[in-house]
Amino acid sequence: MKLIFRMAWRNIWRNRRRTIITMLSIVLAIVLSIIMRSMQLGSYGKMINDVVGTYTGHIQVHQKGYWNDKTINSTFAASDSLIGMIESVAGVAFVVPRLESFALAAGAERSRGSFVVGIAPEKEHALSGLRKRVIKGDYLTTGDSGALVAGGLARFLKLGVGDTIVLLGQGYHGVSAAGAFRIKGIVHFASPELDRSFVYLDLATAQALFSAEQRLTSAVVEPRGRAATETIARMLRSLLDGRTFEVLTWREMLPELVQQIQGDNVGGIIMLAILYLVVAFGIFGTILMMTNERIREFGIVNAVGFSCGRLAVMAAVETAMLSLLSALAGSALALPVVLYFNLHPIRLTGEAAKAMINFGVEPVLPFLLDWRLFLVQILIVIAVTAVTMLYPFSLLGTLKPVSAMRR
Amino acid sequence: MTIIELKGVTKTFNAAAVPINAVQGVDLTVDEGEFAAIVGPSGSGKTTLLNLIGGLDEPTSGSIVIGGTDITRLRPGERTRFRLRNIGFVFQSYNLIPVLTAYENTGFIMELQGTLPAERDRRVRQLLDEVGLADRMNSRPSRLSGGQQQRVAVARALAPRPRFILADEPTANLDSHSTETLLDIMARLNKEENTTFLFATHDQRVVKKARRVITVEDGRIASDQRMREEQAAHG
Ligand SMILES: Nc1ncnc2c1ncn2[C@@H]1O[C@H](COP(=O)(O)OP(=O)(O)O)[C@@H](O)[C@H]1O
Ligand SMILES: [Mg+2]
Repeated sequence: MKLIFRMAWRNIWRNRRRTIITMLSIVLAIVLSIIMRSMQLGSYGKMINDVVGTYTGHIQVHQKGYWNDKTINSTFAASDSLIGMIESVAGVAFVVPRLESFALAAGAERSRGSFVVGIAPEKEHALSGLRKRVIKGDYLTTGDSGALVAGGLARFLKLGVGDTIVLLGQGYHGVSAAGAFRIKGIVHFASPELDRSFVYLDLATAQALFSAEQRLTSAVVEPRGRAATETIARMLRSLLDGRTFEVLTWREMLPELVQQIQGDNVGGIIMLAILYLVVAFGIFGTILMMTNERIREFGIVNAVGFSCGRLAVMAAVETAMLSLLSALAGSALALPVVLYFNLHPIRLTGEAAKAMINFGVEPVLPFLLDWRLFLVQILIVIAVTAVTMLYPFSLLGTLKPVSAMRR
Repeated sequence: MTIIELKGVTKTFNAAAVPINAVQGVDLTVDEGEFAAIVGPSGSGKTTLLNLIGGLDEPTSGSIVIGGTDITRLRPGERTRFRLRNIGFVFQSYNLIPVLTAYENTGFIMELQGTLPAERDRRVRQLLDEVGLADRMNSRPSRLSGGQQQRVAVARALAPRPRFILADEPTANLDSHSTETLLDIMARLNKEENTTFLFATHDQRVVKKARRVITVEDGRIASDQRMREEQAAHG
């Protein structure tokens, strides 16, 4: 085996220039694809975290049909036993109750449609870090009678901390809902859509406003790790009566986001496939030449007793050295780049940035730093070379020393 | 003692439009210690005959028994192993592995056989000394002349002490001085180590050194002469 390795190593350097060009092409492919995938997957992660983390959460439980009609009439009674049951499902970190509805928000001069959310202040903060969004005034406390108003809306209504905001809407079962609330704080959202419409009240205050005592529109269920989302959702679907409740994951609640990510992802994968196809042909060309120019030599060493099996191992070792060395070198080159942009995300400007902000996503591209990213690219290179090795293998499988030497 | 025994060996190639009978009904026996030449014009079947004896090719009919083993009955893998253990080969040219040094090439077969490094080292140095290349030990084949390369090939074939050595026109690409040197080395090693040599040639200088001359014509043995010792020595 030592002999095979020694010969293989020297064999790949027989044509130094060809080997270097082949290796460089693999290195380049690896570097490009690792950086590209790191950027793509990093930005997907960021998008999901931002959108999911700002408001939606990973899983929501509603009265069946709520997500489509979004009316205050599709609420469910939030008994302690129901919430307790959801909380007791394995993998659930906590449950955040909400009562959401639309209402007309009015100041002294102007009014505008708004989205009113009744929250349990501490839990809501645990979910989305809402307290950190307060730019003026204070955050809500449990049982609070005040309101938190999004910055854009407050500006439009010409209201500030300490002023009164009037909310007019429809309560549960058509009861009219009207109330005046002192503005306790102003919150800021990066997404203009959220910033121009959100009003937060304490849960009990909101339930009173909409005459929906003890009722919720949604219970946000947060898993301990993102990976547990689907498992927990499945568990909840089996526990809760499907005729009364719906259990939606963020994928189902945010189909546009999922689609956008999938589209982008497929585009990226196609690009990589093309890149690797080109590299595969390069490797194959080299293997083809390395094999064909040595058929006579193979015949001679086989004649003197070097078995075809050993020759095949030698050819495999040559190719493996060629591709693995390049794959490792490529990974080593890509690592500092990925690391740098992981710590210092690229900040976007212009149209792309606007589009992201509209989606509720901060316009930065953090690179994903994950060893699996590197492993996948190395495995792809190994797979590609394994396929190109079929050529020398098939040739060596039928090698006849006599005819090989007649060349 | 007989080490090579061919009975009714025939080899027909069907590749061309007309089948070619490269070897036709050859009976041949070679004893231990012989230094025998197969001579004949180009295309007479010398290479084919050596390839059959060496187990590199299979006869169309007949049997080839080497040291008691009928090699025509071996499967390809077994035949490779048999060659490794029993037969030394020297071909016309490009015998050596380009990426290995003269030293490594000489020890190549012993290494494949799994000979202990210390023993291998001793034998390789001894043989490189015998063929006059002790000072070129670390040169790769591309840095050696054609004659030097053939000498390394002989040393490699001889190193593991095979039953016999088959050499197919080993001097075909050499000038007369190199031919002389190689032949002297082969003859000396044949004597010193009692290694059997069977070589094909159409070079008269080579034929003169042989102690047995087997002439083939159209794939048949036309004559088989044993020279007396003095005759071979004085040419
Ligand atoms: N693999 C082969 N396929 C077809 N014909 C062959 C093959 N090998 C040898 N021959 C033919 O067999 C005959 C003997 O060839 P060969 O043994 O090489 O002769 P020599 O070595 O004496 O020159 C020639 O006519 C040659 O063309
Ligand atoms: Mg010939």
